[in-house]
Amino acid sequence: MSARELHAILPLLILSGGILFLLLQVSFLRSHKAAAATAVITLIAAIAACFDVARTLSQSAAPIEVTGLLLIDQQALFFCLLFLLAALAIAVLGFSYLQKRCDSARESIPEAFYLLLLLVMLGAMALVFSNHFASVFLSMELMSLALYPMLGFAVTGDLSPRLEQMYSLESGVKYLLLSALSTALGLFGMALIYAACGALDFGGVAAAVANLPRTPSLLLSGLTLLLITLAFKLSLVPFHIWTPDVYQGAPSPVTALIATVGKGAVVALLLRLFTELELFSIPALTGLLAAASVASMLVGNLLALMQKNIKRLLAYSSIAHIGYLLVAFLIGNSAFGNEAVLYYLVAYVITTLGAFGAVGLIADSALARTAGSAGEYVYTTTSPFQRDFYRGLLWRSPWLAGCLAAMLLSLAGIPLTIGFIGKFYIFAAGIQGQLRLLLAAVVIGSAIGLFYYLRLLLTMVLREPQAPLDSIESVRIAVSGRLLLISLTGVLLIFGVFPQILIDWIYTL
Amino acid sequence: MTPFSTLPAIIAILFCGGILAWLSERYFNRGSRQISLISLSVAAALLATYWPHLTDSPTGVWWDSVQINWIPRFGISFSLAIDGLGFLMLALTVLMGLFGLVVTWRDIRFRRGFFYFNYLWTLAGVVGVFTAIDLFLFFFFWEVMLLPMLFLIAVWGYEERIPAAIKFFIFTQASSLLMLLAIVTLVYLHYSASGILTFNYRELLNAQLTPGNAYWLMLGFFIAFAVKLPALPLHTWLPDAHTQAPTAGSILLAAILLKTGAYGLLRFTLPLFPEASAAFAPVAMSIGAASIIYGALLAFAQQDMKRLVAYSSVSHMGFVLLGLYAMNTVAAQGAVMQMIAHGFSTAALFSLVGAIQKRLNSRDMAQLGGLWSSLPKLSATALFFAVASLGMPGLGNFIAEFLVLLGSFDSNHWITAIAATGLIGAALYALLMMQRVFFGGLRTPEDAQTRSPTDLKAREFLALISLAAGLLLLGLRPQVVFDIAQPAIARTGTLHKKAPTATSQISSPKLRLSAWPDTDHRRGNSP
Amino acid sequence: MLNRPTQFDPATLVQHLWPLIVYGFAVLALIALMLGLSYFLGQRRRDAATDEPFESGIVSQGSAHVRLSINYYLVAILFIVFDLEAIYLFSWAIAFRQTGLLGFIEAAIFIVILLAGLIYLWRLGALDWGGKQQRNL
Repeated sequence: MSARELHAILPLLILSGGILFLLLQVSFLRSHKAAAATAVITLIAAIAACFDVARTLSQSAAPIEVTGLLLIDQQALFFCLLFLLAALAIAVLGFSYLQKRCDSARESIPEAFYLLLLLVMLGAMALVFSNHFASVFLSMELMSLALYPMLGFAVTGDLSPRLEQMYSLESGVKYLLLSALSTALGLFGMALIYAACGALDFGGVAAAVANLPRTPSLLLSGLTLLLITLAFKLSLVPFHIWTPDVYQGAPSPVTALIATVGKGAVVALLLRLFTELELFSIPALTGLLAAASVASMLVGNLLALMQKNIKRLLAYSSIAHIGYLLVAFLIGNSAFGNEAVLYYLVAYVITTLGAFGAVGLIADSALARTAGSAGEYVYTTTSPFQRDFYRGLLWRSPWLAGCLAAMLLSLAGIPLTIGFIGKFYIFAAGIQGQLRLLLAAVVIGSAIGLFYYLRLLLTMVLREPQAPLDSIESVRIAVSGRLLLISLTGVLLIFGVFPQILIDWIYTL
Repeated sequence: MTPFSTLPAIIAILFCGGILAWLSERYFNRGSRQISLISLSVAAALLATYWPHLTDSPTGVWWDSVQINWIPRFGISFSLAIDGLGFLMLALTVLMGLFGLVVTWRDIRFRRGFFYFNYLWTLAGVVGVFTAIDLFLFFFFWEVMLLPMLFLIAVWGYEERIPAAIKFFIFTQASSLLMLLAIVTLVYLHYSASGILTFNYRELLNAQLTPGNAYWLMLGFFIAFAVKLPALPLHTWLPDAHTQAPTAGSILLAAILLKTGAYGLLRFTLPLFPEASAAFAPVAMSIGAASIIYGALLAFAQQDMKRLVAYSSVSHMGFVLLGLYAMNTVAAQGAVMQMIAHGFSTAALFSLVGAIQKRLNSRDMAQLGGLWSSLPKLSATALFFAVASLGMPGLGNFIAEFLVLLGSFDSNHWITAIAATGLIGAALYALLMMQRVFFGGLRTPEDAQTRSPTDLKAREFLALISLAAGLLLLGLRPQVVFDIAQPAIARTGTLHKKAPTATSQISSPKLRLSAWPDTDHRRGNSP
Repeated sequence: MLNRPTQFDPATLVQHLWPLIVYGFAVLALIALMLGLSYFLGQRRRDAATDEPFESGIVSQGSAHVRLSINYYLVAILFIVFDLEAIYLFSWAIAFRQTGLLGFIEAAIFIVILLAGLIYLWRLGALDWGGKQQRNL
């Protein structure tokens, strides 16, 4: 392992070092704020390292292979940057979430949240870099294992409402069981691939696939099983059943994490897998993905229509959005397809973060207002995740509602927002690939989607707030959360109106 | 390119005016109406700088244009241009904006700043739609005008406003997704054939398409515009949206937003796909005729005054569709005239209904009657606009409908004959409304606050009278409008004429379907 | 790529594997024989004590469904975690001379990470017996 290789994995090393340091720090200095600060510093250092590695890469132009397990190239670094920035936002959201719910005088350990967050990031980044089925499996498991306790993290906060703890636990257990099942399938798939090709590194498999006269059924079943695992992580229909429950029950920052980083890393892997192994030429696989994409767009949007709970609604909408993204993915191995996937993913990550962030911050503020007598907090009349809670929000706190409205419009793909440019990319990609059926599904899905985004949006502008209780007073959220939301909205609008900036970045990095 | 150009300035003034209005209301609790008035007046003044172009024969087709690189990756530029047709539409937009503002000066009490913010942003979006000649930019503005309109309906509308707003938005948005699809496909096919990636309207006019492709793309555009127009099967959003919108919103919707559909047909669908449009013309004309009859019939059956006016819009816009697809200059001139005249008369009728609703708290014709005795000024104005709407000779609407029928009789006798019966329907519903609401014994709803409501204020009366004068002017001196619109219409007209021969000449180009270009050979990136 | 298996071919596979298959069937047959014989030849009685668990002749008291303290599981999982990690050290120990200094450094990093984990657990009170950690740090 040369110095060059060590330098290439600098972001991973920094993250690992940060985790170790945080472990020791928490051991000797129990402070929520200090732990959050360490996590943020680690993330920022990792971002700087990403830039540094990207600079070296742009000089040599060739991607760096590290021990056959990892391959660092520009695209992977772009993904990493995106996820690290998302993780920064999640650290801020998590801080707001935990501060309300953890009483440091009592027996809760909010610091563990940041440890787990960094572990998830380590897994996600290793997944993005991985160039070998062994590292794929290891990093995917690292990510999932760190996610299980995070999903159930509400239990740690001893001030969380009882119901919230139950839901959170349910979400963690559900994800644990189903994810373990899907991982087992994927592992079996990898074994079959090995049996068919005799290699586990992507290059070896690609060579073997190229040498085979026609795709043997053994390889095909292996790849299909692997695809099922990835589809599960992406919550594509029909592997989406877990999504609404897990998203609803988990603490909002964790929901944002699993919806952005958790899915994005798998998209990155899928992209590299299909490009390196040249799987686009196997019609059975692309057919399966196309079917899953159409089903996700239609089912996701249709089921979202029924939801009264905002987090469930966003969960279903995220199912549909990954369906849209697959349209760009499916046009095959082309520079434009890559660009479209990257752009859409950026749009998706920003928007999803903003939406879950806003929902979570609003819920946090509702919690603070209803300080319980002695024990845990309770929510007042309605849960702050129900749509009714948002009645007339625009009049109560215009900035917050404005940010949420921008996120919803971006999800719906209305101009001025980044979501529109993303949808434009999807259309352009679909037209290039002549995917008529998929495009029809995109149009129908978007039209359905409009309805529920719009209903929520219009709930926020309702003139007479029916809840005359204390919910009339404006929603107060922490300065950090407010700054985060406003900057996310700003990015969303800037990239929506001047998309050329982001397009240039995608190319120059 | 000069640093200061009028077209972006108009849009910018409206956008900034909207933001200022909001801020001023938020921090000083007043001033939003004044700011709106000022920004609209400035916009009108800026527009008036194009006045010289009206008299001297314009050198080029476009009077003025602006082009700034926006998204070079896709060959998208921020390009605006104005010609005679655009000028007429802009003038209509700004005037109706002013009218709506003045006539509902005191109506809005709830969140006034946000109201005028939305009001001005809708207008800015419409101005963008009427001037954009980059298809992407056109679509961009097309959507930008929808959102504020949605808020206008959803926040300040009447009892059933939320469903109406959702219906309005989903209809237009879903159809505009089809248009976006058609736009991107058109650009892609043009790029595949010629190697030039551009969204510019003027360059896309030369796109060579196979007839099959052209037909489908044309349908994509047509559906989006037909929803907006609205044409028969796609009109169902309109009665609800119009009825539930606040008066100023109804004025915007009826007088301006509907015209964007007609404008889109005239500017984009017909010139971009001349052969396909010619093939589609009989269908479109039938839809137009059906809309005329159907709108008139339903208007006749309404209890609600506002719904009546809304359905009359369906009927009147049917004339526009008929005229546009009659494929000759006379009918097209009539259609343009109808767009303007309908804007004037319907805006006035909506404001009158709004005035009645404000005074008597009802717009149900079963509860109203004999208002002439207590509201003579209002009733007299209503009579004027009602007869204008039914096509009284000497007023703009008459000229428009007459020309449309005259022109389309040339292309299709039967459809025109059927459409002409719609005029009888118009007379029926307009006069019926007059008779039920204004004549006879005095009837007012039980819950009206006062038995003797106040008549029109000077402000309202002045605004309405000026509209009436405008209609009279249009009816007596229509030639001015024809002269202004002539070049733009002639352009589509020549294309129509060329159409049959053109089809035979164009050997269908071999389509080399290729990928979108990588960023390296994108346009406008040369050092 | 050296030990790449040949193409999947059922015929040759059966040829190679038939002793294993026969062995598998033999195991199954033996189990079936034992269970079947005891079923047919064994005596069957239904007494009051038949269903009771056999506890060396002592009558059992209470329910078997006892809620064990969560601490047992904590200790068990800690044992598994650290015990499992020791396996890696064994494999390193076997190849100690071959891996050389680089291997030593890597193993050292591994042990340091384990140590940090242990310190974390210790300081947070996971090693304290008896309910949640009593001391507040």
